[in-house]
Amino acid sequence: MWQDLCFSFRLLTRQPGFAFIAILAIGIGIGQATTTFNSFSALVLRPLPHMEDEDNVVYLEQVQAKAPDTRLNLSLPDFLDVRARSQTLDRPTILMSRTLIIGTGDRPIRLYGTSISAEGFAMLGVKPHRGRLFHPDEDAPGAAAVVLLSHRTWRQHYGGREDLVGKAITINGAEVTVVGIMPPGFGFPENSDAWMPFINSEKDYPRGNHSFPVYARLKPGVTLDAAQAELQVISQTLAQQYRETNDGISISVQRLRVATTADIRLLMHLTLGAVLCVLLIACANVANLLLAKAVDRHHEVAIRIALGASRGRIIRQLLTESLVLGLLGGLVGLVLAVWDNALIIGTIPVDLPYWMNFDFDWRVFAFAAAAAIISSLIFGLAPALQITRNIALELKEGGRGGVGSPRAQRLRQLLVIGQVALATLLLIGAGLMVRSYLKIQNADLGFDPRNLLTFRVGLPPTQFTDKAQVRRFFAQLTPALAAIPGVEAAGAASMLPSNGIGLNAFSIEGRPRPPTLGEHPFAVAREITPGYLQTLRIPLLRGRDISVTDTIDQPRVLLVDQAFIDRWFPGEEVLGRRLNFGDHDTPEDWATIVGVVGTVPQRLEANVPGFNVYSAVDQQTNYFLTYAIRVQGDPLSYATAAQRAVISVLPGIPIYTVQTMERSLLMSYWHRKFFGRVFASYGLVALFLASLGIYGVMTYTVSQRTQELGVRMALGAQPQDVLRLVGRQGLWLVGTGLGIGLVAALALTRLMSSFLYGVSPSDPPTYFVLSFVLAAIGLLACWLPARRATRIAPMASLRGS
Amino acid sequence: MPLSPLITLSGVNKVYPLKGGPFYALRNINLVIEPGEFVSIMGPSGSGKSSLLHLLGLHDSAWSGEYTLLGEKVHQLDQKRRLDLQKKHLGFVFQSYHLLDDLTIYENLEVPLSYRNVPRRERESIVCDMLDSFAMVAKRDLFPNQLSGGQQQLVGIARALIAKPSLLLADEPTGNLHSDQGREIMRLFAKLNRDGTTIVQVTHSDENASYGTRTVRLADGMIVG
Ligand SMILES: Nc1ncnc2c1ncn2[C@@H]1O[C@H](COP(=O)(O)OP(=O)(O)O)[C@@H](O)[C@H]1O
Ligand SMILES: [Mg+2]
Repeated sequence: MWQDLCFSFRLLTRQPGFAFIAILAIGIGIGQATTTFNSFSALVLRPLPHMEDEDNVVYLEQVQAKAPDTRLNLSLPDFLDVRARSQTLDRPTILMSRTLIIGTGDRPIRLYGTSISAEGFAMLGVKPHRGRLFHPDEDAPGAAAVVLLSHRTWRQHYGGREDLVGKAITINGAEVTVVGIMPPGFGFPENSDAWMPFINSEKDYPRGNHSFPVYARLKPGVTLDAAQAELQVISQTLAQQYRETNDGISISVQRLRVATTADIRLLMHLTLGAVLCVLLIACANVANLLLAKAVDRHHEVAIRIALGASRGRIIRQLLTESLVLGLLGGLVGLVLAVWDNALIIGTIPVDLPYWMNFDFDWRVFAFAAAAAIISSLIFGLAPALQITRNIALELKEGGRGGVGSPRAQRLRQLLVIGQVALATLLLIGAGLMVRSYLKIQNADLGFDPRNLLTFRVGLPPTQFTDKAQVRRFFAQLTPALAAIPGVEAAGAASMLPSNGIGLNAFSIEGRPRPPTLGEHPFAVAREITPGYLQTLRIPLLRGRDISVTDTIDQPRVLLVDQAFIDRWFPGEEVLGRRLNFGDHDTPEDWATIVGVVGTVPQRLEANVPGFNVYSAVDQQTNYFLTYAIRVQGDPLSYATAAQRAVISVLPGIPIYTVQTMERSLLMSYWHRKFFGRVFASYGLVALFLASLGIYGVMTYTVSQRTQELGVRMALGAQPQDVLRLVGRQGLWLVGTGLGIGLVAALALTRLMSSFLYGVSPSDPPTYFVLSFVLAAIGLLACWLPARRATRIAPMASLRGS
Repeated sequence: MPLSPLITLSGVNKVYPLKGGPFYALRNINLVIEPGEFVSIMGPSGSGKSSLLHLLGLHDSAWSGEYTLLGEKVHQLDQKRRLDLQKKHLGFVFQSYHLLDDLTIYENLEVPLSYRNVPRRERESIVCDMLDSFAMVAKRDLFPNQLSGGQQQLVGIARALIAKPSLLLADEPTGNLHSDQGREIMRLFAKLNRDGTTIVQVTHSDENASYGTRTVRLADGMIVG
């Protein structure tokens, strides 16, 4: 074995060119596979940090029978009912994100806060870093206010003071006692800075409002199926009890890990599949190189057999050589992966949840090693068998060699066809992704996203109980922002376009009110300030805009968009029609449509049309709004001026999530860019490796045919005849591979259709353009060796024989 | 009890299936070689000498007839047993040496031992002894292409002998050498034969054949004397 190893190393140093190409090919393949595996591992394999026995932690969602693909969070009343009735779930826990403001005056700081049931952390099994968790009764109404801080917040805003635990700090204007510090790196559910108990009286939330993430732990011995069965029963009871809101709604339970990775699972699998294709192509390349050497090796092997080696022994030696190649490739791959990983993670524009850790751990090294070993077998076995076949007569002087070279050559051609096919498949997958991204980037947004700065601002309801003060704040803030030099317009909405997808049911005056919520017409309802439409440049088509005179004491007004009309009032006049988005039939709940505006697609992602309805902030009372200001020059340079304007209206109020509109949009589709780029890199590497394969085989073919071609040229064949002769063979390889690849692509890209935007999985332009590119590059790889063949001096090749 | 023959061939045929029909490279060969002989096979080019030698050397299994080697009926043995027999008793010298280019002289000599599972320690002393007796100690770490043809063939012979075969087969061992170098090899063969090794060589030269004890002539795949 040791001897085989030494010999393998020596062989490699003797053929540095071969070694370089083979190790590089394998290295690139393993490198990409390792990076991808690392992401997969970070998302799916690594245990969630700080959590005990995560397999029994579950996540609850609600599903409408009518739209089983849309998963809803729970409503607060439903949660309370589940908690009261369930026998299978241990300490069901509800979450709500909250804005917590610390700091005062002109230096306010906004923390990303989370309200959580008092027993939530104990249920998850998290241990505090300092102090204690919440006591079970600390979420009762009237309990003393307590807070847990994240390790980062503790260090960053409180200097990591040891005596902070037990002290009171000011949050949202009230004194709150710090009872503990959570462990470093903990930010449940994603990147929370601080946690407060979810006070059970926070129940201003009707059954129709599905906005609460709910977690629980399976009680010991309870299976997921048992819990699901019980929740089914509870859902049915609720549906009978509260027909209007709960009809057709069931509660589903999933393991936490499955729920958190549900969106990316398919993509993750696609990516893994694609990267394995790249690795296979790389293996085919190396197998091809080894087969090209088979003729030389044949001779050596024949000698060894004549000296007493058995076939098994020889195969072992050849496989050892492959293994050395594979492991060196694996090493190179790891180095590339470290680099690739940093590069890839660097391009993710969002804050990753606390539990996603992309540092390499033992799993990654184990994967790289396994990939190296398995690759060695894949690329080593066929050549080894080929080389040790028919060696008997190789050494006979003057006899004719018995090398099965036509067979080896056929195998090599098959490998190349396979490579071209896989490369075609990958390129088309990548092409579809990139095209989706470009489409979405150039999609008609219904507004102009350039030169906009956006940020969120608001008054925490626990601190600002006077609704009139809240309305006054926004009424003053909008003109204050518009008055900043360089700002052309300012306006705000409860949510920006393509953020938030809440659908609201309503009823139409003059039409019967359906008995259940599920049967109501629905739309996306937003509250906006005057100036919002101008700021975003959403066109007003008919009627009037919302104005400063639409205040709380005036009749309610509404704007709707064209898509809304097409959906709910096709062919009817809408101006003057009245809608009710509330739960009651009181006069305040009825609002009149006063204007029609341009359609703004609701969710770029799913290409959901608008159905947008806008009402006036001043008639609704929103505690938080997202502002957009249209500026000249770099939007981000207006951030401090915006914060100053807010403080000038009300000291102690921070602005947060400050970003350009373009970036805010990117948030909703960055993963397309990201995966598009990842797939494009796979496609390009595959293309490169495949052309290398074509080039190798054609070079070899030409060298085999040197004599024949020499004779032909001596007999008067023109260079173009030779080109045609050699080219025909190359064309056959590329064409066959391309054909197989196209068929495979047609069949397999269906898998990614849910991920595509604006292109079908069989998008003709993608197929045509990429086939053309691939054919062109493939033919170039044929043409180079063929052209060399035409330069053979006929005499030289004949004399050489 | 008389010593049984080392080799007995009876009715051996070697056929190459060619496109134009079967081609008989060896036809009805009957041959007995006793232990201690030094046989030279001669004949025109293409007469089947190499085919015969490689058949004797068990490099080839596609033949018909009966071949008994050291009492073992080769024609009845499977591939693995043939390989064992080859390993145990045969050494082969090639016209074009067939040294492994990527191994040093020392390593080339070591290869047959490694295939015979000789422990590492022992291998070292055996190879060193062999280098010593061929006066090549100084060349042990050179690669084959750093030696002259004659020296390479000496290594080839040393390698054939290293596992102590009872039969040495040599296919035109001097065919690629100057006559001086050839003579040296022949003297070496004669000495090895005196020391007890049975030798069968293929040669074109009467002078080389004169070192041997007997000559077998082939023509068109048949023994003609
Ligand atoms: N692999 C082979 N396939 C077909 N014919 C062969 C092969 N090897 C040798 N021959 C033919 O068999 C005959 C004997 O060859 P060989 O034993 O090499 O002769 P010698 O060594 O006497 O020159 C020759 O005519 C040769 O052409
Ligand atoms: Mg011959």
